[in-house]
Amino acid sequence: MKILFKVMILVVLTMVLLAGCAGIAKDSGVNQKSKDSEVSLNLAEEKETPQLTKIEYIEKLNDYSKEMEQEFNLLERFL
Amino acid sequence: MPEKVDKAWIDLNIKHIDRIKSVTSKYALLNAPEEMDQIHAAYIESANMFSTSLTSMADALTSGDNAALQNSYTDLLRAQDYWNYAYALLQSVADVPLNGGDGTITSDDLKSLDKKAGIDRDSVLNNISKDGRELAGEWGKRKADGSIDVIVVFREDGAYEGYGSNEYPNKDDAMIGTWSYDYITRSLNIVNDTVYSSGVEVDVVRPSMTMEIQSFNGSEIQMMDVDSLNTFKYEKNN
Repeated sequence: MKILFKVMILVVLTMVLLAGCAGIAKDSGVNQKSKDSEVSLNLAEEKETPQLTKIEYIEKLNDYSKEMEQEFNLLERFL
Repeated sequence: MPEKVDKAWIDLNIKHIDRIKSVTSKYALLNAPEEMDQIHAAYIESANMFSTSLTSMADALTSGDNAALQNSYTDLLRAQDYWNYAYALLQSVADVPLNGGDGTITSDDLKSLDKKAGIDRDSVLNNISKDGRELAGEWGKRKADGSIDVIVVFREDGAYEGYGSNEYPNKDDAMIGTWSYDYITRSLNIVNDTVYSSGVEVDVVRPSMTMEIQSFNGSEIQMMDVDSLNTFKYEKNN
């Protein structure tokens, strides 16, 4: 079962790498870092934020995929 | 799961699973641009599936239920399919650098390479509905006389027929079954119910086949058998 779990983690890591491809748009030129590194987000507060531009949105996707990748790497370390 | 499960080991992994779930929860909070509504919905759906499967995984780790762990793994794979679908949608509208590289290779670069192999994944997204109705019809290879040698038939009612070269419509050497389209994986799933050889029903060697559709424009299709990796290019018989 440990092997199964390891396989699962590898699969998910692959997924996260793919998701990571959702990087910053090529023509971005912007280097905005995610302000959501803290988990404790407030839904209502977030909904009040202005609508993201296409570039900002893609940047967010990239940030989140990197966060997931980081956590999956840590998860793998203990298996 | 290790034979001798340590509570600290479980707690550590659950802690990381919870952190991953906390990231997946952020997707629903994004105020995406209207032009990316469809993409955002796909990401949220995937994130929700990840969250659900990870919750099941954490529960399975806690209880030591191996069967539940297996189920959560299956769910996780499906969540990955949804994630890949969302990413495919994103790539269809934006040129994004590929992760793990030096940032110089982008999705458009890969698309250029794909096109040399006849692959156009955007055409699959753009030209095939979720129910795959555009796939219905007779498909085959064009012969020297300009006619089409029908190889596969996808009926609108879901019936499938497969023929050897120059056999259609003779069913003496044919495969009969059903087909369906999975828009998430952009794959054709074929189930072979009955196989005939020289007019005699024989054992079904491959009960099911999955064809990844690599390009589609309504009159031409390219698909790859995901098991054999053989590629098939057919034209529609009008």
